Amino acid sequence: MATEPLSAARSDGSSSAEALDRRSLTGSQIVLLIGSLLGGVAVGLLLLARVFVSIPTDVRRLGILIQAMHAEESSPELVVFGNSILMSGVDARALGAALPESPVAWNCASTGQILLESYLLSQDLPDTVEVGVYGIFPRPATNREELHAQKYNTLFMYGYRPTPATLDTVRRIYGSDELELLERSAISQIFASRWAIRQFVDTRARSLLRSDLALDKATYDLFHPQSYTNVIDAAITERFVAKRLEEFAAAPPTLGSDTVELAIQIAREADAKGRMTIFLFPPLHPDLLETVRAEMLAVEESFRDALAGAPDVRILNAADLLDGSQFIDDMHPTNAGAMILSEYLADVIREDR
Amino acid sequence: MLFYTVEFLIFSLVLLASFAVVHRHEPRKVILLLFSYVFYMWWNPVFIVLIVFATFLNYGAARLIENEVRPGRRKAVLVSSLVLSLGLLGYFKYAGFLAENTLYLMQLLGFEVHWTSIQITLPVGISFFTFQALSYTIDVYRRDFPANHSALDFALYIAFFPQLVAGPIIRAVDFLPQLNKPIRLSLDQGAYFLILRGLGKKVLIADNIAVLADRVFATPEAFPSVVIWLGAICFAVQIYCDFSGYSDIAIGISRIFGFWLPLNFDHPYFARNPSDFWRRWHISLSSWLRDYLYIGLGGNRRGKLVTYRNLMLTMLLGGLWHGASWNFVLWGFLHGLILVAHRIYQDLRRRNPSYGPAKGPVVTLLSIAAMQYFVLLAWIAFRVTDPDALETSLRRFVFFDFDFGLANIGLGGAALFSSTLLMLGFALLHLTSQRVGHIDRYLGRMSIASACVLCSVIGFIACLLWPLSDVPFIYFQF
Repeated sequence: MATEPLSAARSDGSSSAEALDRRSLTGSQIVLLIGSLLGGVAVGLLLLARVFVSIPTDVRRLGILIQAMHAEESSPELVVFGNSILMSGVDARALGAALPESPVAWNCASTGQILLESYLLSQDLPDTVEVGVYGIFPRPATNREELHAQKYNTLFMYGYRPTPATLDTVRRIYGSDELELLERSAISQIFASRWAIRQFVDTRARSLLRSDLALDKATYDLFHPQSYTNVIDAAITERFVAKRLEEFAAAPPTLGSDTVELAIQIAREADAKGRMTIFLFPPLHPDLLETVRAEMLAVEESFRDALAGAPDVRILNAADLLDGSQFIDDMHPTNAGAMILSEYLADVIREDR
Repeated sequence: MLFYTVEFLIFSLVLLASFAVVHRHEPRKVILLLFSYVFYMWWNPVFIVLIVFATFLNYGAARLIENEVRPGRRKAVLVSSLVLSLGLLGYFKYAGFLAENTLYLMQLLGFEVHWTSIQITLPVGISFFTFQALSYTIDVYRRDFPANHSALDFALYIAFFPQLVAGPIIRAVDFLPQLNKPIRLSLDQGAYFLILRGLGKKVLIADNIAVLADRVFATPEAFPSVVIWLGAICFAVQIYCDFSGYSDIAIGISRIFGFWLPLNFDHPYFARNPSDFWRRWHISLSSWLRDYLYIGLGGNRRGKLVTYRNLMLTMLLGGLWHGASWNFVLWGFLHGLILVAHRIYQDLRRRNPSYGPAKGPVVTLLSIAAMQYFVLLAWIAFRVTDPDALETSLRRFVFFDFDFGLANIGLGGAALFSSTLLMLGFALLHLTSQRVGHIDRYLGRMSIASACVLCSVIGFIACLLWPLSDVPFIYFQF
C-alpha cells in the first residue's frame, strides 16, 4: 500500500495504544499517583496565594489601591474614583494643593473602573476621607456595566473582603451574577487567580514592546496615574471619535438603572460617614460632544432628577471643560487638561467645604 | 458530558462502583451500555433515539444480508440501510445547509422566494456513530466480517461511551471480538498517563491557545501577515491538541475497561507529503474514507484520471463530513488538490525515477516545511467561516506583508505572548515525542517514584494553566 495515497496507519509498533506497557497498578500505586497529582495542584494553589501580589498584571492597580487604603499611615481627605479618563484627567497633588491646608488627595481611578468597583473600593476607605469624587460615564445603551471577574479576584487576593452591608447592596441592585462573584469561597478565588500567570507573561512582553507606556506609573501612582502622555496623531483621534459616534448612533448614551441606584446608595453611605459626594461627568472630546451634546445633557438631567433627594451630593458636568488640544486622544486629557479639571474640582470643593 | 468535569468524575466513580459489585461478564456489558446511554443523554436525552435506531437498523440489516444468498436482495438491504442511515445524517446535518443554498441559488436566478430558515439541532457525534454503524453493515455485505448475533454486543459497539461522540471511529472487526473476553477493570501506568496527556493537550494547550486563534480570525483585517501566521499556527496546534487529546483520553479510558482502540493520530505535523499526512491525521476517518469511499469508487484501479477524480471526491466528501459549510468543502478541496498533485508527482517518479530531488535530510526537512505550509493554509479555510474574513486571512497568509509592528495591534486580551510561549512549549514536546519515539512505553515503564514526581509536576502546571471556562471539544460539533 506504499503508493496508495489514502493508505492506512502504519503498523510498525509505534501505535501509542499498542506500545504501552500493560502492567496493572496496585491499589496503593493508584492512590500514590492520584495523590501526587493532587499534591501538585495543592502546591500550585499555595504558590498562587503567596505570589499573586507580586505578579504584575493589567489590573494590579486595584490591589495597590487596596494596599494603600489598608496601610496604617493612610490619611487621604479627598479621593477620586473613575476610569482611565480620570486617571489621566485628575492630578490629585494639584487638587490638594489648590485647597486650603493642602489636604492629601488620592486619585483612585483605574482602567475601566465602573461605579460598582468604585463602590467596592469605597468600603475600605480610611475614615480620614471627607470628599469622594466619582466619575460617571454614560455609555451606549447596549453596553451593560459588569463587574469583571479578574478585577474582583485581584481585590480579593490583595485582602479585600466585602462586608455584609456591601453584599446586601450588591444583591439588591445587581442580583445574582455579581453577588455570586463576591460570595465565592477563598479556595475558589485562589484557584481563579491563575489567570495572572498568563497575564504576567503578556504584561511583561508588552512593557518591553511599548516603551511609550508608563505602566508602572499607571499602576502605583496614587496622585496622577496616567499611563501615556504623547498626543496621538490627529487622524487616529478622528478615527476613534468616528468609531465612538458610530456606537452612540447605534445605541445612544445612557446610564443603567443599577448605576443610578448605586449612585444614590453611595451618597447615602457617604453622608452617614460625614463625607461629601461629588458625581462628575468627565470632559468629552469636542468633536464627540458636538454630536451627542443633547443626549449627554438628557442623561445628566435624568441623573440629577434621580438623585434629587440624595443628601450632600454635588453633580458636576465637565463635558465641555476642555478643548481639542487638551486631549491626548479621543478620551484622555493631557497634563494641561488634567490641571484644568483638577482646578475646576478644587473650586467646587473649596466652595462647599 | 466533558471528560474533565465533576459530572464525568461522578459518572466514572458510579460506573466503577457498579463494576465492583457486578462481576459477571454479561451484566457488566449491560452496565457499560446503560452508562454509555446516560453519557450520551447527558447532552440531550431525546437524541438517544437516533443511537437506538442506528443500532437496530444496522444490526437487523446485517443479519438480513448474512442470511440472504441472492445478490440482488443483499444489495437491496444494504442500499436501504445506507439510505436510511445517511438520510438521517443528511437531515440533521445538511438539511439547513441545502435549504439555505437552494434559496440563495433561486434568488440568484431571479426567483422571489421567501421561507423561514430551517434550524435543526445537530445531535452530538452523529457523524461518528453513523460511520461506525455503516462500516459494520458494509463489512458484512462484503463478507469481510460475520454478522453479530448479540444485540447487546452490537449496541455496545455503537454506543461505547469513551469514543461515542468524537471517535476514534472503530471497526466492528476490531471491537466486537473484544467483547467475547470477560470485561475486567485494570489501570496500568501507561493508560493513566495517556489520559493525563490527553487532558493536558486539551485543557492546558488547546483551550489556552484558542483565545488567540479566535481573536485573530474574528477580525483578520486588523492584523498583519505575521499575526495571521501566528493565528494559523495556533489553530493548527489547537485542533490537533483538542482532537488528539480527546482520542488519547478515549483510548486510555477504554483500556481501563480492557478495550483496545486504534491509534487516531501519529505526529501529523511531521508529515512529508499529503499521503503521509493522511496516514497520521484522524487515521480512523481517513482509513474509513479509503476503505468505504475511495476504494468503493474504484480506488486507483481504473486509470489515472479516475484515480484523481476519486481522490478529489473522497476529500470533498471528507470535508463535508466535518460540517455543512462551504469552508469545510474548500478545506477538502484543497487537500484533494494537493493529494492529486502528489499522485501526479508519484506517477512521474515511477515512470522516471530520476525525476525530482534526491532523498536526504535537507529534502526531508523542506518536504515537511512545504507540507505544513499547505496544511496551515488549509486550516485557515477550515477555521474561518465568514467569506470576507477568509479571503483576507488567505491573502495575508500567502502574500506576506513583512509588517512586524506588533507594538500596538490590540491583542492585549488575546494573550498573544503567552499563547506564543505555549505554542513553543507544544512544539518542543511534539518534537521530543517524535525524536524519542515510544514515549508512551517509556511513561508506562517509568518507576513509580518517577511517575509520582511527574504527576506532581503535571498537577502543578494544571493548577496554574487550567482555563477559566470550559470549552467543548471541537469535534463534538461534527
